Amino acid sequence: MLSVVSSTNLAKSYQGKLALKDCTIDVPVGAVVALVGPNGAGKTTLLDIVAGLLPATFGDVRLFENVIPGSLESLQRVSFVAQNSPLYQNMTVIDAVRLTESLNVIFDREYALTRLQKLQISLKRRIGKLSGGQQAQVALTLAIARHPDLLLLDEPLSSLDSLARQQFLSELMTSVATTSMSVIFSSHSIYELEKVCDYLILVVGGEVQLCDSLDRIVESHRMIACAPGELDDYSDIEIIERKLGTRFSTHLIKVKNLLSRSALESHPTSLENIVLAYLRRAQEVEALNASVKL
Amino acid sequence: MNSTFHADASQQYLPQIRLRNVVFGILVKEKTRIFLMFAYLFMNSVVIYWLSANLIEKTIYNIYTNPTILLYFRLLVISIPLIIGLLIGVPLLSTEYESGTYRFLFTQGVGRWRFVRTIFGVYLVFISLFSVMTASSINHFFTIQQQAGPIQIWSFGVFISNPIIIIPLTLTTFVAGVFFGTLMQRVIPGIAATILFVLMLALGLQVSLEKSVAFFVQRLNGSQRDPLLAYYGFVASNDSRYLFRFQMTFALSLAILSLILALGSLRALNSGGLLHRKLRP
Repeated sequence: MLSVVSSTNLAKSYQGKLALKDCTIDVPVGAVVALVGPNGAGKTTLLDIVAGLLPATFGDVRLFENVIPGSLESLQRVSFVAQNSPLYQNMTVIDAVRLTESLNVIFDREYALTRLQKLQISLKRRIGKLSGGQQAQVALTLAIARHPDLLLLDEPLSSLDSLARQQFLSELMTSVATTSMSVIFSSHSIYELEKVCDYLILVVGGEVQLCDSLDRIVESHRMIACAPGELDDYSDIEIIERKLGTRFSTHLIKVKNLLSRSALESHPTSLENIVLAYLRRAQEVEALNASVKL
Repeated sequence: MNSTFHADASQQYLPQIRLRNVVFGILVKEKTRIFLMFAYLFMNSVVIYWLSANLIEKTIYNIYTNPTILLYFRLLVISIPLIIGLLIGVPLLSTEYESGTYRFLFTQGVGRWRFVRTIFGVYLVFISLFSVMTASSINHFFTIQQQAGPIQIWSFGVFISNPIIIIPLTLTTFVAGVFFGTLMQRVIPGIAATILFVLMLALGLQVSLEKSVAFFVQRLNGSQRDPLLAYYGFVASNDSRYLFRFQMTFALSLAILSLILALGSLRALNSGGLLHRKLRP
């Protein structure tokens, strides 16, 4: 399958401190990807590298199989909406449309104007006078009107209320359905993205914990209740989280080989539970490392 | 393998955005700043014209220039490169970093290098065009001033107030402002660095004028006088034969300095500036 973003052992350090480490991902063309992780996990750094705004300290990243991020081809094929939709606050909406149109080879002016009209955003208003939700919509409109092959959205929902979030996601999904673009959008919560995404990248502490389709992730993770130590003999499973009980312990396991799953009596769990288990595990590892350092 | 931003071979076959489109985009984005720059230089020229109308004082016995008007004139002329450098040059790219809009601007299809090259070009053209107004008003001022007697053409104040010097000097401070703004990625530190640079540049110009004139006079006359005495002797002679040659040499030196600073700006943009490594996106 062709990949829209692929990276091998990608790392980025700031003043010697690693913000992203050993990041290997492979996102198929056409995927709608949720890039999830807690604050400071390295999501923005990863998106900045893919958008060509930051060079990687180590490793390799390619877009559309062989395009280098930041190259002219990548800039023409990738649209990026950064966190808090940074647009020129003193510029009117129509000027922002004109500016984006003049700086890009492809720009669907008619689409942009129709969409803004539909959203009841006045073209003559200054961007700084619009609400956070409207600013996010303007940024999204400008990005989609470029008809990109890959759309990168960095925490687009953070400044929106719940109604605006629903509207934003539904507008985005309409655009995705009518085009063939791939989308990567970051968030610190999986809850809302679960309904619209078909692929998940979970980043915690600068490391990629999960990178797969949602179906495969849910399929490969199981909850098992068994006596402590009973799972030690199984080499094809990875214990993600263990909750100790008096007689039985509850385990969230990752089955490395899906075919061998029938050997264990288990039941499926929700994506949110899986993500939370990974987050808790990473938190425990971090706390352990901190105590070792002390 | 370290990742780089270098273009791959396929880029040369990519569709290019027309230059006029990029220029149009820059005009849309920068129209307020360009208008303010025009308004400032226009007002400056008007005030210089007004000052020149009040420059000559006549008594029954004598015609002389009003020293207060002369002081105002010099302050106005010297303020041009400073204002353009500080208020136009420094914020040009540093505000993009401060407000985060560089994430929007530098991910557009035009590419950051082409955009920055074009915005440099657009501003250099506008500054040169608008400076014609200033040059004309300065010339007018000097014409009026000559009515009260010959001007000391080799004195530093008059030498750099000349349009041949003031236009390249304005361009140099503009590029220096862009350079320090890009390097610092913050407006206030960029302004501070540019002020320091302009002061050093003014001092450097004065010293190099004195030294080069003294060296030239010593070579011309074969005299072994003290360099400073040689310079002031030449200033007193008011010999205009070599003035143009000196002005052109200084203008060319400033143009070369501008080019170096412009390349430095691009380099600072590429490396991410001084503060970039400290920035957490």
